[in-house]
Amino acid sequence: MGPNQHWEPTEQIFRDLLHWLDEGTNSDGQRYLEVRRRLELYFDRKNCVAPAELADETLNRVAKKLKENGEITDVVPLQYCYIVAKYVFLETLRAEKRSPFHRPLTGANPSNLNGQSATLLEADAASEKKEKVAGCLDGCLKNLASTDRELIVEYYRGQQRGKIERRAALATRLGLTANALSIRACRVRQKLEGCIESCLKKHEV
Amino acid sequence: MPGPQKLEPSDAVLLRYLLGALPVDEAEPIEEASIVDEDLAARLNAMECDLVDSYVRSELEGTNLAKFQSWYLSSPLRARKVEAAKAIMLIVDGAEPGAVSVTSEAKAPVEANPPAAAKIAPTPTLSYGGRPIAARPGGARAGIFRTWPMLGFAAAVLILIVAVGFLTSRNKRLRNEVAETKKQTSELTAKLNEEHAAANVDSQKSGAPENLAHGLDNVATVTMFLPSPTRGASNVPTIKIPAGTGLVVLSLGLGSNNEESYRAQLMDPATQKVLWHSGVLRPGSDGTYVSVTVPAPVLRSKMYLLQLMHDAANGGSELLASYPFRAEVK
Repeated sequence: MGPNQHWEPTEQIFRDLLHWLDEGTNSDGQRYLEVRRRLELYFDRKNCVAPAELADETLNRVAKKLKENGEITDVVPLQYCYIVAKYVFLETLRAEKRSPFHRPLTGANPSNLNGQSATLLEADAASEKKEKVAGCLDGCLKNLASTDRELIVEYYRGQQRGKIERRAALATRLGLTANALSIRACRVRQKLEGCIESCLKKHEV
Repeated sequence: MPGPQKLEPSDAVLLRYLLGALPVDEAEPIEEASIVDEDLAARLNAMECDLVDSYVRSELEGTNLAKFQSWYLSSPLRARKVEAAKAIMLIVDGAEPGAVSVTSEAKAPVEANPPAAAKIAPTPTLSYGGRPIAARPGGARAGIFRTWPMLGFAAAVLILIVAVGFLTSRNKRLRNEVAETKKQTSELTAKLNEEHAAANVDSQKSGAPENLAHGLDNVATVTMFLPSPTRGASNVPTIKIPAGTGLVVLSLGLGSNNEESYRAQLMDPATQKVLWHSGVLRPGSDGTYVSVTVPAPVLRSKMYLLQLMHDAANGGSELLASYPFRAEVK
């Protein structure tokens, strides 16, 4: 993965990175998490096997560059992160021995799980798994603010025409455009997904 | 510092990107925008959520379905999103969603490199600011029963039992919360009226000129009680703010929250931007409400969310409840 693979930022460098990503505001680390999430999605959409590690590698390199230069002013932070991510990806492409990409699923390659067991995708333990998921979902729903809980249930209820009409009514009630509503529902949904995943991991330990 | 160039691809192009069907040179600007451009990143996320939902509800077909099965599900991270979506649908619909298991579906051989652009189904359903994406009405719910007749049925029964139990207990609790909220609303309204009457008496006793008392009413405050939000409470209260009002005092019903202190922030739900935030707030004497004083000039005639937070032990802020309301500035 390159010469920076084992470099880790110190606490001060990490703080400098957070500050730089915040661009003059104080997001309390939220901006960093959002950038990391976008980078992880970027690598995942390129079918890289370890998108989270590559996202961390990208941010480590950005942090290292910040430390060396003191500041990066010629491009905006997100643009710079993208440029570095592209380099990290190209290096991953060259590391053929690591077989870093998921292959498309076909009859000959029905799964990319590589023998992982007791995960969400284990088919032969379906009912047990679904019980766990339902239990986790229950807990995670309780952790949501009631408005978010109401929104997610209302947003995803129904099929086709009824669903579209319900969403239009919900958007009107909340004073949002349909686009803003779908974005907000997706944010709540991602919060739920993250919570369910953490909960399942706890059960697996 | 040069800013990123704004990219506005159609929904169809974004759909092909999400399904891994876009050529590298066309995908690259979208990849860049997915990191750099806030709007496109949010739009892409929302679209991915609905794409996954369409799959879970068996609403995808043709090339889109094939690409979803062969490419989208090839990543464990993405496959987990599908599983999480199934779980959410399960509660929302109160029954088993229509799609078959990820692993069993993925075993079907699929087209290696289909011409995705030409085959996107024409039925419009949702739009994300660009042209609408396609999905088909109805579903292929029978698939699960053909694939796993016994296991599918057993799982559906089990899930139904869990879902019914969950919804029953939730409904009971929500009914209690609504009843409690109504009680709190009437008690607090009575209390506010009493305090208001007492304040008028005090001002008359102290010889304060009547017009000063009116002045304080108009210039200083508009008061309103916002009940603790519940799933059933669907009416968004409207706060009428006369011209010249300086402060808007909102008493927030606390429901089951019983922290020693709170903070509040005012958010624009359309942009998700925080417009104002309070200092430390202490609950009222009976612990059932907390009052927030918002400067009236912050408010316009539109929807707002007042978010009640608590300073968590780890130093972060924990969101406890959101109180939607509509302001009407006259």
